Amino acid sequence: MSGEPVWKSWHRRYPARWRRELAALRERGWSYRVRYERGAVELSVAYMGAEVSAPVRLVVRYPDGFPWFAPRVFDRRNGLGLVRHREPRTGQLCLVRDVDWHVDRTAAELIEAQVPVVVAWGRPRPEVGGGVPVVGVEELLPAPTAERLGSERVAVTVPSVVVPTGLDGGVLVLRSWVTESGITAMSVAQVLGEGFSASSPLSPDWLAGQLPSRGLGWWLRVPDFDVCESERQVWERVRGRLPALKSDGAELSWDPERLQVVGLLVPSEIRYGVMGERWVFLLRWGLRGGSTRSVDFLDAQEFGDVGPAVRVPVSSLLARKFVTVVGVGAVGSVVATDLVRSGVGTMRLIDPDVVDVSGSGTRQPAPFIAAGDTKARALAGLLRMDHPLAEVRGYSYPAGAAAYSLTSKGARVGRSLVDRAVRDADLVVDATASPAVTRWLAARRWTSGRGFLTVSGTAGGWGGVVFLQTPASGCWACVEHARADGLLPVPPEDAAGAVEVPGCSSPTFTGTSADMGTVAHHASRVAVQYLTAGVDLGGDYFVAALRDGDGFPQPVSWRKARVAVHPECPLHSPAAIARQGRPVSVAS
Amino acid sequence: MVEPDDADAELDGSGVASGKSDPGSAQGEELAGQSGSDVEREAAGDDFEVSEDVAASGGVGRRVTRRSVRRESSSSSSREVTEETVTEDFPVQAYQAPLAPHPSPVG
Repeated sequence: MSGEPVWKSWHRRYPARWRRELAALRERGWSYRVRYERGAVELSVAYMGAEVSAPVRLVVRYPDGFPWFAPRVFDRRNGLGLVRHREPRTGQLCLVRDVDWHVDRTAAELIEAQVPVVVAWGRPRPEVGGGVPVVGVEELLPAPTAERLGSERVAVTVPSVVVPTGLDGGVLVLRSWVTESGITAMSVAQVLGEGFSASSPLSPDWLAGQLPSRGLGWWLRVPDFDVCESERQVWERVRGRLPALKSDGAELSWDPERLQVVGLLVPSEIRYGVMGERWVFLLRWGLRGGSTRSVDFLDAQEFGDVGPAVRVPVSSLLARKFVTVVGVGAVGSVVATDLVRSGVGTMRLIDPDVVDVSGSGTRQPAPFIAAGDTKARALAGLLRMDHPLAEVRGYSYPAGAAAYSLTSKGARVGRSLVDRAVRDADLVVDATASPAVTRWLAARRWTSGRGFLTVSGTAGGWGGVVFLQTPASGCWACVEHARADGLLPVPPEDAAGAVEVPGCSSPTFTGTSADMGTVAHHASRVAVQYLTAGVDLGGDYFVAALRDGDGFPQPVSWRKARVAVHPECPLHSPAAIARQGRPVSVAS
Repeated sequence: MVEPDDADAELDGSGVASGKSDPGSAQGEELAGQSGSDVEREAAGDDFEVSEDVAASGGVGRRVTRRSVRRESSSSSSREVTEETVTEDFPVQAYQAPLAPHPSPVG
């Protein structure tokens, strides 16, 4: 078979369903007109119900995926008189979410069932605004003003700051990435007003590095903002309130005459029934050599610690934690990413290995343009781009720096950085897959009584081990003793999983990112539990099997154990052995 | 875009840590867990070093204050005094348990 597939609108693919849609309208006595446009159909329906005194013109737009997906219904002239459950610019009614849609339901049935509901709860009511929820009838979600108003594929990022109510306007210091063809990113670095100044929590260095263009703009409070006004109408209304901008002495990257940015603080429902303010941006600019100037809305996105705390409640606890990840290959890179995404505030990555585009990217983030850079620095750069509020640094030194000569200044610097990262962290995660480094790190952390977590996979990605060492557990040397005694479960491995890459002197292993990530994610969960609750997950030693005894893939199965102080381990005092010494227990 | 970290490294290049915690040189001479308030003072001419066991941020360690005095000449009365205080970790005992048959770690 070849050629382009023949495209047919849904009403031609499902003609019986189309007839049923129209019949359902006639059954209810609602007159309608059908509009065919480029093969699609749209209905204009004269809706009549008990809650309206005269027919209301509703437009029904069917998605091409109908009836798999719900039709959209519009009340463009607001004949229903709604202040909620209707998007004011397009008139789209909030009738049904995808999760509640049923493929057998017709548009007429949807309108008949839901329009009376949105009319009952969407017309002005004194209790809305007074904080009285209507439980069980409508979703208690806010109806924010000017949500997704902008048409450009860029949103201005704004730090969550409370601008004093007594101020009507002021100046914005902006950071941006501006090209001849447009703006690809913009962030508010400072909000200034009379006697008021609020700075972005993003570091000036980060802003200057990622958003090199610096400019000035205005901000205005617009209490009478009308979302149905066009960009140009709003601009004409506010332009008289914009004073001349005075340079603050620092170099500006764009001419305020060519590019004008106005942040509007407009009234908006921030929680159900609770009014507040949100940002909307106006962008007015002219192309080089042209006399016409376009005016566009730009959406704003506020950032801070509220959004993360809603989605990941433990993030507020993790924000104060310091984690060092040693080894950021297939396993460590996943753990580091997991923990920064979960909210860890300070992270150090240690790995001297380099990004090699011939293979690194198969199991870990390895930016093509970072070829030859170290994995630690490359990953730190990526994490800083994703999570600029986290303090992430990559150290390109071997964790076992103690084994290296300290004759050069660089070696001494590296040793110092590694030492502090290993000593001061709330948790050190070892993903080096190097027994010598694991031994050294574990012993150092054991002496300080602070958390240490080691994680590794096995060849082929067939299994893995996670061990959390705390003052309440045995230590890594105890683990090695217990292994020698045959007391701990053993993960499977692919005997043929150790391989060499042609032209590379370092051996490597087979296995997918998904397999290694499965082991790594468990380590991340253990780390989060330890850092936030100070407890483990019912054990401190975990063994994963991703394959059965014959090497066939299976759902991952974990066995857990508790590692006690081993009587022959010399890293414990006799009193500790007497207190903690107990047999290793294994539970599947 | 990857940002350099060497700037940070340069800032930290004061050689704060010493080689004292090299496990290869420790060999159980000073086991972790030792603590106390002993104050040792070593002096050589005008230079001196004072060390004191402390609870360091990462555990038990030793705070060492070193002062060195350098005269421009033997007859000169002008001196240059430098002093630094660092916290050194106690060395960690090097130990390796017997090896057991176990899959090699990868990652």
